[in-house]
Amino acid sequence: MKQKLFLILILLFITINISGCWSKKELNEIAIILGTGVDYTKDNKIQLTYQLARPAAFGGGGMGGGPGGGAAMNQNITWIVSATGDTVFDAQSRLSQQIPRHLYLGHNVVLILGERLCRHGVLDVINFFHRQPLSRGTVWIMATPQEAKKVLESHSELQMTSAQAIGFLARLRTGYVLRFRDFSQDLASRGTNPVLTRVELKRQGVAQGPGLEKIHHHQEIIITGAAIFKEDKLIGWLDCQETQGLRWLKGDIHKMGIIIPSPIYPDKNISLDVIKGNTKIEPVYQKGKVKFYLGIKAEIDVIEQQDEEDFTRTEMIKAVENITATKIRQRVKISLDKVQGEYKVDSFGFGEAFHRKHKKEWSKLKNRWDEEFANAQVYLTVKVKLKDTGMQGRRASLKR
Amino acid sequence: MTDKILEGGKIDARQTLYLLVTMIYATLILFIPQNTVAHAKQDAWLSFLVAFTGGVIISLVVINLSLRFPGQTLFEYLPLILGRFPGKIIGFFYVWLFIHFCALVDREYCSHIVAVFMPETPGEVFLIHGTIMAAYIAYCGLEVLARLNQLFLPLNAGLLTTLFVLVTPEMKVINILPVFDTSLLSLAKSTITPLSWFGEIVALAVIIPYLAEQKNIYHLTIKALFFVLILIELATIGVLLVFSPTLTSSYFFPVLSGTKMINIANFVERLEIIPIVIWVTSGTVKAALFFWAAALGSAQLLGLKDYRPLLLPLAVIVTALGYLLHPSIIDLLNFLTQAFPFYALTFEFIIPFLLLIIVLIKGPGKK
Repeated sequence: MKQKLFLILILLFITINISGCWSKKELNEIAIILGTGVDYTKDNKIQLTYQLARPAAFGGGGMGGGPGGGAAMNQNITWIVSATGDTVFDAQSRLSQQIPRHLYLGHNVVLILGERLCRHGVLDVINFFHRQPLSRGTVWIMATPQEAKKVLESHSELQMTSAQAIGFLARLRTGYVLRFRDFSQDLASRGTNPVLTRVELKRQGVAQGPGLEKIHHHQEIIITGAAIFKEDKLIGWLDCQETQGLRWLKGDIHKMGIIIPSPIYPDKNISLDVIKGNTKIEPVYQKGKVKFYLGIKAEIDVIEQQDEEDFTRTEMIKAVENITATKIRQRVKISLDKVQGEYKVDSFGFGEAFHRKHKKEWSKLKNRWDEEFANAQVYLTVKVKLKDTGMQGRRASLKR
Repeated sequence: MTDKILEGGKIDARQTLYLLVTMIYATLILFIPQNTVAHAKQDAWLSFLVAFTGGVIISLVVINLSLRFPGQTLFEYLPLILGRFPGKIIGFFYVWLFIHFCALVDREYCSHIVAVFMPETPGEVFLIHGTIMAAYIAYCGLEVLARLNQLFLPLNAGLLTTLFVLVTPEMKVINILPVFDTSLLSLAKSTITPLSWFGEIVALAVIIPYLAEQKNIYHLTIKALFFVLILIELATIGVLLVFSPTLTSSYFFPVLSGTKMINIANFVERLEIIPIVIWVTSGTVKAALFFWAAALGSAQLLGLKDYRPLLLPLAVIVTALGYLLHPSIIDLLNFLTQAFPFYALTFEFIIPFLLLIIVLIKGPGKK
C-alpha cells in the first residue's frame, strides 16, 4: 500500500514535470525575425529595423510548397517594421508594443548596419546581439552605404525573402563575407581591425514572365565590396576589385576570377579561375622596423580564351603563370596601398601574425600597432600554378 | 564503531572509474573554460594539464590515507586518527563540504537553464527538481548511482566528441597560437580553480570501502583523472579554436556558445540541447553522489543504523542553500573563481595531507 502510494506520487511528479514549462512560446505566438538592420538617425538615436516573416503567405497560392516558389500571389511574405530609441533594446521594446507576437531572434539571418551608425561606431549596438541568449554567432554581418532600413525593405526573386537571399549569397563566398562571431573576434583583437561586407540595394536585372509585358525592374540586395573599420568606426569603403585584393591578403580565397592579357596576342584576354590559394605572412622585426614577407600561392584553371594560345605547350603555361602572378601582385598592391597607405589601418591580421612570431616585441608595439603597420614594408612573392584547362587543351582552329 | 549495513552496495572497477570521471568533469565542462581562459588566454589547455597533475597528487594522498583503514570511510577513521571529539568535528566539516558541493551543483544547474533557456521560469523550480532527483538516487544507494552513471557517461563522452567533430569547420588553428604566451602568475591564477575541481576526488575517501576490489585503486584513479583531462581539453581546445581567447572569456557558458556555431549545410544546426543533456545527466549524478556522501557521513558520525531518514531534511537544506547562497549567477561565478578554490583545497588537500602526516607519525591504521 505504502509502495503504491509512493509510486503514484512519483508518477504525479513526473507528469507535472514533463507537461511543459513556464517560458513556452508556441510557433503561432512568435514573430520570426529574418533580417535585422540598425541605423543611426540624424537626431542621434538608434533605429532598429526588423524584417519579419509572414508564414501565412509562405507556400500558399496553389503552387505547392518548397523554397523558391509557392508564395501566394499578391500577398506580402515579409513585414518590415522599425522603431527608434536610445539603445537597441529601447527601440525593440517600442516595437514589441506594436507587434502582437513575441519577437524571436533565433532565426535571424543577417544583421545590416547603416553607414551613419558605422561612422559613429558600432560598439553602441553590437552588445545587444551578444548578450541575447537567442542570437547566434552564425549571423552574417554587413554594412551598407545606404540606410539599413531601406535595404531591408526589399524582396528577392529567387528566395522567399531578401534576408534569406543575402544569406545564401553570402554562403557562396563570392565576396568577402564574415559572420558575427568573426566580427566580434576582430573587434576584440588588437592585431587586426574589422572589415565588414558591403551590401547595397540595387536595381538588378529585369523580371519577366507571362503576363508581364511591361518591363518590370527589380531591386535586389547585392554584395558590392567591403567596409574598412578602424577599431569600431568605419573609415572607408572598398569596391569589388579592391576587395579581391583584400581577400588575397587575408588568405580568404574562394571563387575568384582573374582576367589576364594574352601573352602572344595583343588586345586579347584569357579568363582564369582561382581554385585554391593561400597566403603566408612572415613578419620580421629588425632594428625597430617591422617588415612583412608575403608568400601567395595560387592554383588556377583556364576558363576561356579569346584567341588561340596553345596550352599544351609548357612555355605557354609558364607565360600564363607569370602574367597571372603579376596580375595578382597588382591587385594586392592596389588594396594594400588603399588600406595601408590611405586608411592606415591593419585590416589584414598582420598584427596577429606578428604576435604569433614575436611575442616579446608585440607587447611593446601592440598599443600603437596601426602606426607601426602604416610604416611597415610589405614584400610580395606570388607563385602561380596552372592546374587545369577545362575541357580543351587547345581550341579547334582554322589556322592549324 | 557503526555497522556496515549503512550502505550495502559494492561497485566494480569500471563503475568506479566512470563515477570518478563524472564527479569531476560535470562542473568543469560547464563553467571553467571561461575563467581559465580569462587568465591563461590561448594557453588554457596548459593550465588544465597543471591542474591534472595537482589532482593526481591530491588523489595519491587521499588513497594512501584511506588504504590504511580498510573498510572504513573518512568519517569512520577520522575519530581514530584525531581522537573521538576532534575527529567528529572535522567529520562534520566534511559533511558540510559535501552538502555545499551538492548545493553548488544544483545551483549551477538551475542558473544555467534559467540564464540560457527559460528566463521566465523561477530558478527554484529547477533547484527543487534537481534536489529531488539527487535525493531519490541517493535513496537507492551507491550501486544504483554507479549503474546510472554507467549509462550516462559513455553517452555524454560520445556526444561531446560529436560536438567537437561537428564544430571543426569553424575552427582556426591560429586562435591558440602563440603558445606559452602566459606569465607564470596568470598561469597559476588560471590553474587554481580547475585544480579545486580536480580536488573533488577527495570524495574517494568515502567511496573506497565500497569498491569490490581495492588493489588497482591508484591505477584506476589516475586513469579517471586522465579521462577527465581528455574531456576537458576537448571542450577547452574546441572553444578556443572556435572563438579566440578574448571572445571565449566573455561568455558564461563557452561550450554552449560553441555549440551554437555549428552549422553544417544549413541543416545540422541548433544542437544546443546536446550540452544540456550532458550537463543535466552528469550534474544530477554528481549532485547525487555528494548528497549520498553527506547523508552517509552524517549517519556514520551520529552512529545511526540507516542514512535514508536523513535524506529528506538534507534535501531541504540543499535546496535552501542552493537558493540562498548566491543572489545571481555573477555572484556564483565570482565565488567559484575567487573564494571557492582556497576553501575547497583546504578540505581537499591540506586536511588529508595533515591527517596523513599524523598517521605516519602516530601510526594508527595499517602499514
